[in-house]
Amino acid sequence: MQNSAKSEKSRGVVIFATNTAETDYVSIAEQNARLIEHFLKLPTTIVSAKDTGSNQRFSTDTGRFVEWKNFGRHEAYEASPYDETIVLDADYLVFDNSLLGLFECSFDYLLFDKNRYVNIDQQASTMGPHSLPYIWATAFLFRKTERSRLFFELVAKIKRNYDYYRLLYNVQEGNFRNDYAFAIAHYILNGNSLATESFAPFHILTVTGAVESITASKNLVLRTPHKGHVLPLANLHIMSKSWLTSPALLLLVDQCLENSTATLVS
Amino acid sequence: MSRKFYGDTGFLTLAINTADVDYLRLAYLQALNIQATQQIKNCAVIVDQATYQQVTDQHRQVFDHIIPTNSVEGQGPFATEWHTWWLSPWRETIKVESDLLFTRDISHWITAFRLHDVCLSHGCRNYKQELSTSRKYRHVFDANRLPDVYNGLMYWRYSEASKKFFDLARQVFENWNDVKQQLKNCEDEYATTDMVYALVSSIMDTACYNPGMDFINFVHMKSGIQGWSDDQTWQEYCVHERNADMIRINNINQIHPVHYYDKSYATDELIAEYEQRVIQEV
Repeated sequence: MQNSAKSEKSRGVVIFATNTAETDYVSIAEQNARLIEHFLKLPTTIVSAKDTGSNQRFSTDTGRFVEWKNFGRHEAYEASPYDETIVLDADYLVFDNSLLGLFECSFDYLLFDKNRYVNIDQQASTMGPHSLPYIWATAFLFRKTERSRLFFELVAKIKRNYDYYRLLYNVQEGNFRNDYAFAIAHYILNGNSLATESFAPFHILTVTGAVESITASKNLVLRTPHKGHVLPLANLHIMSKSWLTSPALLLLVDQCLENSTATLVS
Repeated sequence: MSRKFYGDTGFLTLAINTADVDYLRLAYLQALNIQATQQIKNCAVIVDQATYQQVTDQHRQVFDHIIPTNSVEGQGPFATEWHTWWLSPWRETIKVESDLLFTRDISHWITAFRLHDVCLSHGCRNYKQELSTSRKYRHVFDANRLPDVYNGLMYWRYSEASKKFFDLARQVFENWNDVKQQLKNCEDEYATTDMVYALVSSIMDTACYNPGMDFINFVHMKSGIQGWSDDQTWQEYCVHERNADMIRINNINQIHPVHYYDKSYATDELIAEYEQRVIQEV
């Protein structure tokens, strides 16, 4: 007799985090995993990529370049134990369940092409002044399909041959960036078109530069050295690694979890 | 109203050579491109008497009709545009600017064209295939609340309404000095075809464009449309390549017709490649 019951697809979150001399990314990911469990009710797997490379990023905390091991995002397909995966940077903190809603969309992979800065003027999201828009590899979703596998293989190929693709796509920056490799792979895979149907319907929210404090209630209240911001309780990409690795993150996560518990009780 | 036609539907372009640009050469490349890409292969070109002297057997092999007309003196480079209605050999005409190439067949657009007696392109696209939001070259249009139409690719069928359109266009061309006094911020010495057709569209009591159908338009490669400075042409800014008829700019396939604008795009190599592919079939 044939079993007509649908098999349950596994779903979870993969966070890429590789520690450097300056930054304990894994500890950030662990706190994010608590938020994910709370808001998304999903399991989290923290992955330290094999092909991390060694790069440098400009630290908006210190104003100098620091070590950065962030090359291996193309390993997501193999590294994820789930059929349906949300991949996040450790510093993209989850404060709502909007990512879950994206699984209602039909996609092999779903990318974020839009970002909105909370505290600075919006920046052009192109790979160079005369180049194409890039993707925010900070967060993306994929299902384990053949097309997704091809996508990640292509990202890996672009990484291996980055000097060539950098010239071909008029990329200004010398640094390899997952954002660029994702964009290039996406355009190639979609027959040299922007294929905007593979983009998420909302944007990533980012706070850049130094953070003094973040508290959570019905809203997120963010204080930077010069301004205060009241944000919705929504996912937030926080660039300040010094704040993320401070005890303040643990307090914020505790606060979020307690607030929600209190709301449930009341 | 009756006239002899040589075909039902066909392409038509104008080629009036100037000291700087050999428009007949561009029209020739376009005719080859039309043979290679379009189901509708009828091709005609209108030339002035001076350009007519440049016509060769090679041109005659590719164009179905080469139609000489007299140039209009003293009214600027576009003053012969209204002649096209009277000179077109086709009952239904798709008029294109000579520096425009097709990358795929557009015969399926005919159904949409036929919703109007005259159908102009509305808006234009950047190389990313997005509808352009740049208003850099359209300040006068905006100041005068004129429709955002382009004559670079347009259609008309032989009818009373299309005759009226071109009669009005003729009047605007011929009375430009008076007309421009009525326009805000308009300092154009000579009438441009886009401006004239936009004015006529706003006067006509029937619609001459279809903004609801956003596919009747083309990729406009003026640098400002891409958000780039006009100091350089798009060919200097970005990578481009060809794959048969497909034009790839900055690695994006150009699905819509490409108004390449920078005349140096029409290289001898490109023409020779098309000749090799097309002329034997013709």
